[in-house]
Amino acid sequence: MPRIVTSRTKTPPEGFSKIKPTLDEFEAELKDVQTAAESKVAARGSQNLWKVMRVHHERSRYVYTLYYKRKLISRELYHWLLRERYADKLLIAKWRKKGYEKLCCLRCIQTNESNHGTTCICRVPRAQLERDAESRGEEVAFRECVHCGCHGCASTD
Amino acid sequence: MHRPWREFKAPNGKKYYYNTETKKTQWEKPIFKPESTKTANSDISTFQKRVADEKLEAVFVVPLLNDWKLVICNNGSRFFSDPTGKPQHHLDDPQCAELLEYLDKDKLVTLIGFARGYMSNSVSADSVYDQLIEEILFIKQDMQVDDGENSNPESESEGEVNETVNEEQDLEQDLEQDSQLIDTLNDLSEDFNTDSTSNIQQFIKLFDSYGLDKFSTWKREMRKVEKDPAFFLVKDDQLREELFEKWCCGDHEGDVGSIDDEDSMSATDDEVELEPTKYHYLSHIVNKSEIEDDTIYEDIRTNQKALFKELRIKDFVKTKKEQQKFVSKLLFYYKKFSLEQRKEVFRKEIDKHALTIKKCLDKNQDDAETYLSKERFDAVMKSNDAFAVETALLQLENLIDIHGDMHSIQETPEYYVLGIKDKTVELFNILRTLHYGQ
Repeated sequence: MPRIVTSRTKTPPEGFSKIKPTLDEFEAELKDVQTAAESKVAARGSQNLWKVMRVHHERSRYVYTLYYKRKLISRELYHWLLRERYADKLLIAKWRKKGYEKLCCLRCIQTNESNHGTTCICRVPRAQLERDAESRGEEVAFRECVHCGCHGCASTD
Repeated sequence: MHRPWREFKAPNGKKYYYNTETKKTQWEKPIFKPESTKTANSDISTFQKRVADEKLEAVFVVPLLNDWKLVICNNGSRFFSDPTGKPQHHLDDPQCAELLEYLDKDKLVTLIGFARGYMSNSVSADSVYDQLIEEILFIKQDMQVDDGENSNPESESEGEVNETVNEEQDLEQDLEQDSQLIDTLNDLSEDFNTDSTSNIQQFIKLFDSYGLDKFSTWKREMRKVEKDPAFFLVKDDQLREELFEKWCCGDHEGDVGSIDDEDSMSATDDEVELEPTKYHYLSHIVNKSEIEDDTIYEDIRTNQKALFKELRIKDFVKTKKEQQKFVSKLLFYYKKFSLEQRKEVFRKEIDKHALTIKKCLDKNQDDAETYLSKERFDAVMKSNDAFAVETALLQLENLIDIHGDMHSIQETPEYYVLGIKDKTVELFNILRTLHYGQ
């Protein structure tokens, strides 16, 4: 969520007007998710949360590609966006590292929070999951992870 | 029957195929090619087995003459169905063979392509099929007329003797056609599998024609173009997104490139690329700022922060320490000497290098004549245009080869004790006296 605009908020640097429509659309999407009715089934309780995480991820990704991939926005604007929390700077910091190019959320790589001191299952490459399932003679059981509803975010996928 | 193709799995789980005879590797499933050396009977039996094995489905049935039919299956293979309805590998009817010869091969190939799942925007399978049927009807009529004329010279007994020979010829022709068909089909399927470059280019043109916003995300921009038929030239959505990202970057690079072009254009107008010396801008800033007795580097830096940024001092002098060292040396001259005294210091510094400068001037005889002409220089000075003066200075510096033989003078603070305008005038005068001897 971006910070609330107050009188103390610095005016956005040049170039913000070009990306504003897209950011507004993200905002609207987020609002839709928040107002959507939650499912009464306990197993689907966190699905709305996943949607929030997805929009958050997409918006961070958008800012990330604008600055690092497309190189269309200035350094000032990029830092302003980070300061106003339009993008998650901790997540972007991870994306810049090898092996974390497509990371879904930070919780999925928190080894402290998992039972066996490992990362989330969505970090396992799809090919490996399929190979393991085949050797056991089963279908791949993994659909999405419980943290953010990620379907797999290994760099090779 | 010997089968040269083996199936393997790549590390990413995708299947690929390896030919043990030709040692070729490919992603696509190889097409079944009947072996020519086998006798017809065993060939048919294995073929029938194959039909049963692979669960072939007939997609198109093209009626030919005398109740013969051409059947095209979903994997692109084809066989003939004889009057009794049994599948035959080769055509046992000379008239039908003749008919096939007259048929448009390209249409047949496209039809086979459609049977294998090829999609196209421009033509539909049904229309091709209808055209083919029409053509067959037309040829049939044509042949019936021909038959009426030619029936006399062709005696039946002769036909019986020649039948076996004809058959063999037919078979050969058939096989030839087969290999041709397969070749063209392979081309087709390549087109279809790996989105050809022309398709990709057409797809990328779409972005320009719809005027997509490169400041937006693919998810949003996709909605604008997804109704266009050209959108489906590229099948993989991931590839589409990649292409869009590339287009966003490329477009941007194009912009920068054009700006660069303009820059180089202006440079070519002057015919020499002008590069300022290492401390050129830093000394300019020092010259511009007000200097008291207790001014130090930090004061200048804080007061002229905008200029530091604008002139990109960092690009020339990398570290702050280096900047500080140089500025404090310059400040000494500015604090202790008057303008006239500084001019004297500058002249002395240049005089030290008089010999090398003279050599350089001799080397660049032509340039020296143009840049050291009095009228030209006066015009520049009168114009009072800061940019023109600076250009003149840089030209003069180029003349004495400051980036080559005279490199050492770039590092000495004495060379920078004057402002740009004074420096230009002084340098001009010195060079003139050196060049023309008084």
